[in-house]
Amino acid sequence: MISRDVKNQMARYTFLGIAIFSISIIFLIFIFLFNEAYPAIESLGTDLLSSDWGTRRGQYGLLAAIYGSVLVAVGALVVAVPLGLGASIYLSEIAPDRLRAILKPSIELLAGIPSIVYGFVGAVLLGSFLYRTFGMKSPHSFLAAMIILGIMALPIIVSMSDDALKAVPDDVKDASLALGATKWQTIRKVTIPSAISGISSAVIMGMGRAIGETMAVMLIVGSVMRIPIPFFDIFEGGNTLTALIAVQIGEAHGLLMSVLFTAGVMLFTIVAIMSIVSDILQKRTTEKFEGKI
Amino acid sequence: MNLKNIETRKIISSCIFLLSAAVGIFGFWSIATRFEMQSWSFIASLLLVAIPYLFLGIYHQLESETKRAFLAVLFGAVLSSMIVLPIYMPEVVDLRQWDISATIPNYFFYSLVLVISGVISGYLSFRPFYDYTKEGIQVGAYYILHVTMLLTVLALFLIVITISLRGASGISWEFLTRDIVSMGEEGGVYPAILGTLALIGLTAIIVLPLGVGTAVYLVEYATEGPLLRVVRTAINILQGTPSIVHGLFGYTFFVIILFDGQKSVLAGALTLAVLTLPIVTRSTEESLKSVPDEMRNASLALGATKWETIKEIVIPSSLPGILTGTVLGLGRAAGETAPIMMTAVYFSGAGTPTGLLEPIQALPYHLLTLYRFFGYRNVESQAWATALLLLIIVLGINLSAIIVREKFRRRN
Repeated sequence: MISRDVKNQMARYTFLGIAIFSISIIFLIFIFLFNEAYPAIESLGTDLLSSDWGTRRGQYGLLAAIYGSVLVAVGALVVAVPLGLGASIYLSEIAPDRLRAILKPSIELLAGIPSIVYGFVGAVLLGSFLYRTFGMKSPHSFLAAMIILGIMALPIIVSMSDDALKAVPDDVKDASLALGATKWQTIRKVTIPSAISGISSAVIMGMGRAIGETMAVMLIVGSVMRIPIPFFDIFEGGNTLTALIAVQIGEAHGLLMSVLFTAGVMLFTIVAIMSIVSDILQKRTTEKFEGKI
Repeated sequence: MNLKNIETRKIISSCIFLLSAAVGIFGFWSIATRFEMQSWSFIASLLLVAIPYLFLGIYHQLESETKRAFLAVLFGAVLSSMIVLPIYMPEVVDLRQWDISATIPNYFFYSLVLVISGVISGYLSFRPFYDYTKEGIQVGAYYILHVTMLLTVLALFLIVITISLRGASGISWEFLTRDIVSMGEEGGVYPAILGTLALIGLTAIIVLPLGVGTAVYLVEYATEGPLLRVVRTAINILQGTPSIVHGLFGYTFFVIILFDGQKSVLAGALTLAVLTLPIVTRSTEESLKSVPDEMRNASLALGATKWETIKEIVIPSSLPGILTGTVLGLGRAAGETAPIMMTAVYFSGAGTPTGLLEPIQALPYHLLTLYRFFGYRNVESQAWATALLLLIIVLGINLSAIIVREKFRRRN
């Protein structure tokens, strides 16, 4: 029979062991990614940032994919932010409780629609619709990817900025209403400015999802490794970092593999910066009101 | 007609609102159906909205409010001038003249103008109705917010409804229980269902002890400090990392280094476990933190050891939160394609999996394969049915998690 004290100690060290194991896996991923990317960075250097891509010629410029990733993410925000912010203000400030009780969980539920399903619908229906409508060169276009990614980012933006708006204490709003402001004036002058860091954190998370999205983009955007001419021609196809990795990894080895890891490191760095900034902003919202209540 | 009468003004504004709502909906419908509009119907619908604004301008002029009169007339004039552009100068909407590889067809331009003018004039019509007070602005703003909510819900539900309508006919008992025959043209998706279930199950077995154990250590044992902050940041970053990066890691680390280049269900589950680890850890941490310290202290004061307190008090009372987080993580894992594409699955001909080290077929990848056959093979109905099945499984998993959470919330 093991004594209670020994059990207690055993539990402590078991949990410590598990924690060390998981955390070392996490750091292993970071180290591994950078380690695998290193050969490409060492041998290609700034060539990685050129716009010349040709695997047979040994040219591995990632600029077109980087540009595509940024373009698609910005476009997705143009679609998602006006709709998402409007919807979250409606949800948190205007919607009757019953409607809110249905809408909020269903929007969160729809956040779980797998990206391959979005990609499938986008490629089969939206892509060909835009192709016929605008008389484009091919059904693959940045525009279709922007729209689909915008819809994909909607649930995150709505649900996170709704949380941020709900976190504004009622006293602050009541003070404004008591001074004779209408509800809309209160929303515009008090609630939104108070929740602005939480809302920006929501927008950044939405953008992070759009940049990191793989399957939907891969099926829609077309995997053409070039920057459209003129550069704002969103009716043309292109490539993104995620789609590049997904398409090339099947046959990749040697230097190309390392180049793909470099693309992975780039993605990872962009998203890491975003999630750190978003986290800081979110903390600022909660801290802002903690002292006041 | 006495334009100075407040009743008249109300009639004018409600006319504008009803007309603009009709115009907006008509425009939306004509985009969706690619309705070839005759130019007369377009002119008529725009004039219908523009004329009340001209009336409003006259009214304001009578009230000697020159600025408002000017704005109302200007808006009406801009609306009516929209007619001229695409009908009499169609080359303006052809983007090819600026080297952009597209043209905007007349009907699309018309429909878009209708939608936008419908929303804007609807918004503006509330102000005269409320005699330009702040309440009028509020009603107008609420109207815009309602429209955005409607569009958000519409966009999301449209995808679900489209898949349901197109996929429902393909789902049958045969589809669920038969092997994949001739590259997915016939037969069912039985092996893919099994594969997906095997992946989720294995992932749960791997990630649950790791994630929960880590969270328990971080919350109950670890002392706050710089090291803990670094660990938390690392977990956060890992949660936001794109799944393709996990796939890249899984492929080189698990498949190539660990399993000698052989894809397998175990390698896939390990990759998915790494993907879901931060989700499980974070949500477990949150629910452990929500257990009040009074409960821990009461248990410790009664002479229980720390381990007994965790086992008997802390974990049972945070169980719903832990379950919700884990199940949401698994829901995400079930729908992921990029990580398993390189680690666990192979071409559609696969039979049912036999061992942990065998590659499998999974629903998301099966859908991808079928999509690639579009145009070559007759796989459309099978593909839509697969999409619907995947949607049902993933949303079902998420729904159960959300129901548990809502119940738990209500209890507190």
